[in-house]
Amino acid sequence: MNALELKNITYTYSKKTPFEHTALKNVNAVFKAGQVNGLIGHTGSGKSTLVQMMNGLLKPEEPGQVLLFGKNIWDEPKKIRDIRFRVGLVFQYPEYQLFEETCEKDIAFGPKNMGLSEDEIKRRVNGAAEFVGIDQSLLAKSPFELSGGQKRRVALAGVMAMEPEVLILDEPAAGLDPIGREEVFGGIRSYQKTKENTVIIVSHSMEDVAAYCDNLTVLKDGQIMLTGSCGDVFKHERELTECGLGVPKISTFMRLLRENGIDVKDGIYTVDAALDEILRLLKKDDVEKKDGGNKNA
Amino acid sequence: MLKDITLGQFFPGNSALHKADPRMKIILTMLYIVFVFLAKATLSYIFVVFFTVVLVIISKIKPVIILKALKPLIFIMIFTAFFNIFWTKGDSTPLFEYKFIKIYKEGIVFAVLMIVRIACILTGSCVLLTYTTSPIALTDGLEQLLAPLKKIRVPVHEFAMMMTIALRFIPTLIEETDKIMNAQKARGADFNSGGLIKRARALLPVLIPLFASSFRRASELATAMECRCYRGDKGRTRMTKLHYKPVDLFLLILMVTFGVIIIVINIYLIDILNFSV
Ligand SMILES: Nc1ncnc2c1ncn2[C@@H]1O[C@H](COP(=O)(O)OP(=O)(O)O)[C@@H](O)[C@H]1O
Ligand SMILES: [Mg+2]
Repeated sequence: MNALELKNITYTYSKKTPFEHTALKNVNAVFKAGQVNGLIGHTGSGKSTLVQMMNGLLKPEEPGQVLLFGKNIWDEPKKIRDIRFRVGLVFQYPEYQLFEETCEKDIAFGPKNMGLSEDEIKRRVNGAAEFVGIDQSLLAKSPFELSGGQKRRVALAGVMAMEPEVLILDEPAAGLDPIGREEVFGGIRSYQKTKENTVIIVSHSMEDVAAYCDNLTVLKDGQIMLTGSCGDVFKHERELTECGLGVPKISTFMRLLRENGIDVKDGIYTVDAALDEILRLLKKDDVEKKDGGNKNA
Repeated sequence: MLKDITLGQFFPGNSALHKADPRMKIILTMLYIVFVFLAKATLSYIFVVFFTVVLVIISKIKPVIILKALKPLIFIMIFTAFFNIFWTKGDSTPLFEYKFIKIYKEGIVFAVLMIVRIACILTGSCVLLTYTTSPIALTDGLEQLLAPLKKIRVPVHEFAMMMTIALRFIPTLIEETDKIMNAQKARGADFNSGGLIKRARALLPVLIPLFASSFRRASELATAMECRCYRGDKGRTRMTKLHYKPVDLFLLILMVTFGVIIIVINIYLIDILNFSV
């Protein structure tokens, strides 16, 4: 089932001024329910613009439509705020929007706006903090005292606490060190595993989307360039390299092995999978050698 | 979008006014305003309009842009004119009389001249200064014009630097505000409903992050400036020195001629067109 379906989305910034700039041109895309969807494109390709369409922060030009579980979100413009609770959007560098005295209060901002009961808010704040690995002692602190990675995770929790049906993250790992990245993606994964909700991860790192996403949509200059499973998308190595994105290094590595006559499987794009495949081949070789030896004897 | 509000209003170009020295343009603007106020006779007003049109032509700024700038002030102009019509008393018999309301010919003439004066001053100072001078050049010019005040310990350089930095960060701040507002809207913040107090409270989630990031930016900028050995005005040299050029002299002569003509009209030709005020 499709959680979100975008139809003929076009968007122009600063329309009718000398600074007019068309960021999206007739984009059609679907994002599958219950999966981790990747949205990838180089800087300036319109990723952030596209995700702001999905929760109604930007309105597509006519006749564009954004369908949330089959229903156009602009059918009732007055109720667009409810859409934002159902489609949670974490902006790029979300730590710059923290404002409350304590992390706990900041995470509670969204649920409070939803008008939930105190108990429910408490439950959700604790749940969200647990997903992203922020422990109780940190909740009472001011968000301005935390480290960069911690702030980022508190900001993520602020949106997760609304328990949106679709969670969108715009470059969630941008500017973090490897440990910070792992913690952020770990948080997203544990949220998705538990809630089984739809997640959309925006990124320009092929390595990240290869590791965490079930399917990919590639955006180039405001248009959809490719879409499909990770394996399918990474088969277009040449096109992806031409538009400056590339494919995961391990994917190139496996292709080179194959081209040099080593019989590795097609469609491998994570280091772990590559390791398994190579070990499998080595074992097979061993077995064959042994078999061969026995026959000769 | 907040970003669509244009600020500074500088329109890059290569006209004589664009090329002129910002110091000269500041002086010219002041002279211009004084001369317009000196104009008394109707004839001099006609001349003021003529001269302003000449300035617009020299600046090569499209008239549409100027009309756009005047648009928001139409209300003020009409308001002023309206009062002048009813408040001016003339010697002749009123053109229109209803109970205590009396409208004289002089009132109407005065109201029209008033509108002309406001429109001309606005247009003139826009093309002389704001439309043709980049904000940075403007503060630079201001700093150097006011440099003599340094002798009496007025921190002219510091003020100019503050102004430059403020101008530089206005677009950045607007963009940032836009971003934070969107981020809070995504968490269900509602900026457009409720009473005054509720709306003011709703702005807190925007203002606090905005202040926080402004402080962060300020401290980063200060560090960066120190790393590049900025230590205030003392011993500071300039990359672009301001020089008066022939074009500045030309503009000055033009402006002085304008002033002289206005004064001559005031003294000798005041009665040529009958409805002087
Ligand atoms: N608020 C804005 N005003 C004008 N242009 C914008 C604005 N935001 C983005 N753009 C332009 O739209 C294009 C797409 O931007 P964006 O969606 O942020 O790309 P991405 O997130 O993929 O880097 C860029 O060329 C950018 O310059
Ligand atoms: Mg972006």
